[in-house]
Amino acid sequence: MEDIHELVERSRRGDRDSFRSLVDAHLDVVFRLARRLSGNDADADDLSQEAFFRAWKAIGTFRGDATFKTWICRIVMNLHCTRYATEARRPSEVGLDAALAEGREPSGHAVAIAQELSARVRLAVDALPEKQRAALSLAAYEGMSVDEIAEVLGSRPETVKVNLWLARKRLREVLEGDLRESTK
Amino acid sequence: MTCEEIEIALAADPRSSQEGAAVREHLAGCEACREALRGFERIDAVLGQARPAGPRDRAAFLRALDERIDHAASPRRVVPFLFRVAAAAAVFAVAWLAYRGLGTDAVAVVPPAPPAPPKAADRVVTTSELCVRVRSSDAAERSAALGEIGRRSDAVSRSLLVAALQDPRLAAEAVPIAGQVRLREAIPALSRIARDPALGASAVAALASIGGREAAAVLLRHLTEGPHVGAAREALRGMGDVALVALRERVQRARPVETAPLLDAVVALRAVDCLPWVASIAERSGASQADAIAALGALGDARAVGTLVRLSKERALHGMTIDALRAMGEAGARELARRVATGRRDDRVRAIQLLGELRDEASVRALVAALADPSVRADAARALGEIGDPASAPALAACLDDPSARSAAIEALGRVADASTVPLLARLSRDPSLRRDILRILGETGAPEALPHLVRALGSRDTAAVAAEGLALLGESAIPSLIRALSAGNTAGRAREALVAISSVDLGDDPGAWQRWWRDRRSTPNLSSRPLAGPGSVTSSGVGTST
Repeated sequence: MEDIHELVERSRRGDRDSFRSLVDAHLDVVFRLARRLSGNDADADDLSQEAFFRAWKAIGTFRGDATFKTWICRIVMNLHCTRYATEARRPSEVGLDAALAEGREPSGHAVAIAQELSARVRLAVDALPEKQRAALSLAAYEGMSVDEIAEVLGSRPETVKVNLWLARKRLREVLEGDLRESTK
Repeated sequence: MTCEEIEIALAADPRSSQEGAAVREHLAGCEACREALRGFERIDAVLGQARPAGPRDRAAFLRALDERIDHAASPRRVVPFLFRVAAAAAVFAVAWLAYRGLGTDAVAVVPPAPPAPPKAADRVVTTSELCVRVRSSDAAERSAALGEIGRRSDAVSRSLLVAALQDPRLAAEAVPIAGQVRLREAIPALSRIARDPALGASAVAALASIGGREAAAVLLRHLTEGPHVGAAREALRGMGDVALVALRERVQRARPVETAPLLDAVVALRAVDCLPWVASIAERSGASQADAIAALGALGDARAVGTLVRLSKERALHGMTIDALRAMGEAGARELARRVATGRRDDRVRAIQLLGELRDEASVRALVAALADPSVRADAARALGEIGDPASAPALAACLDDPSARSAAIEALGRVADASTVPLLARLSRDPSLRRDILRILGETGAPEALPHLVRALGSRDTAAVAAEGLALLGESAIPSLIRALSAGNTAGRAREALVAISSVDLGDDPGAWQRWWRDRRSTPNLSSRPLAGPGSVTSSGVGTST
């Protein structure tokens, strides 16, 4: 893969192909975050589209102080907050069946049980408060550091740490039995 | 460091935080924190497996983004804000003035239309020319210009199309084009047009083509107001998940006046996610309660059964809940059948009663299984009687030994019995304690197969009366046997009663007189085709034609 910094520079000069490569490289990260925030594929699709579109329009203002990944994730967070903050929506209404469908893991031996546990985990994550959900998603799925997450969420690193602690503690409480079973 | 500080450090990064000396030292001496760490590591392992996938159709996503960017200008360089505002205003002003200029001299920015232009296909038509052509008095030229505007993706063309939607002369043609090019900027204008009786349906279709959350939200508004409720409902039905999500959000802030149309929409879109909202309306007495109960049934989701069972206890709502459960079809009956087998006795009895009222033959197996439980046996027997499936007769017969369920089982047998159950009933009639009831049931079957058993019972003092009643219920097919029974001293009296009940005439105890009457009746076409009055309609003795 080409150097992200180089792709960003060329995109700033209006190179559509480079921007397409940037989108391709970050699509999964953005979609996963949007999915966790919005709670369903349709909204996640809309949110990701809008985020990349805004990124294209604003890439001239991207100074490179942050990585492109944290910058685009921050756009997703901001869009989500301005769009849905007033609507008091909670993605936790997603049912187990939908959560199972979301995974789309290939079926196979013992995968059914793993899928079920994964679906329960997704539901439990979806039920977390928004900041905890976003922090955990970025840490666990995207491997971001506390500082990077703080940049995306616009929070202090200490706040992110507490959010991660509360999120993991809550998951441990909710999934205690399931987790013990799965690791036997 | 305290345990809480250690936990926070571990939760922030379960792996690298262990590298710190203070954390390592604390962990070595604290089992609680070691357990916390193990818990976090287990969570991370499972989270890794539960990592969500990317978008379902990656290629479609990238294509759609490309199209959006095509519509937009190049990425903005860092330019002063005021300059950007001024530039945007200038673009809009050019488009707007060009469109609204209406050909007056005052609008110098619109160049005059070129004289007798060649065919549009022969050369590139400028946007300015399109501004003029779209206002042409020639309908064909207007139409062609609108089509060309629709094919373009620049900001001025999009503004022109939005402006055309607001012009009564152009709106009819502009509406479908806005839909075809999925022009999101057109949504507010289309929303206004959707209220128009003539163009509304077309605007609704265009909104559906544009798709997305915003269009879905607008269409949902038109479900509760305006002349095109049906079209909006159909459009939303075609929009899939987006419409469902918008509907779910909409119902959460529905005003009371919007409840009825939103219930219709929930049913039309089969939005089972809205079930909690529908259930909350169904449980509140009010103008929409009946609609909500019906909607619970129409959604066909078994999760609504609990609410319906609760509501069925209210006398005024009972009929509605039965209708809803019936509308729910197999899902409702299956859930009730599941509730027959589990839970508190009261709830099980309620489910049994409802299955009986639903008269769903598919529930027979669950109810027969419930007969094995003495605590609900009588209720299950009654429900089986309501359903009336003869196949349940052997199971009901097996309950006759239970004194607490006997009367319910006998009543149920009476309801399920038919010709196929006569051999079973005949066997049961040998039991002296059951004989009278079973003979009555045999008569109620109306089956000719029951005749010999009833005639035989006429000879017993104990059972003669009930056998005569049973024979009377069999009607004309019993007459020859009854006339023969007149000759036997111990059966004559009851046989005569039965003959009178069937024929409505009383010819006494003389078998010959009855024989002649019967022969006459069969040989007289008018009489033989006329049904006999049957039991309970005897008018007076001696009435007849035998003399």
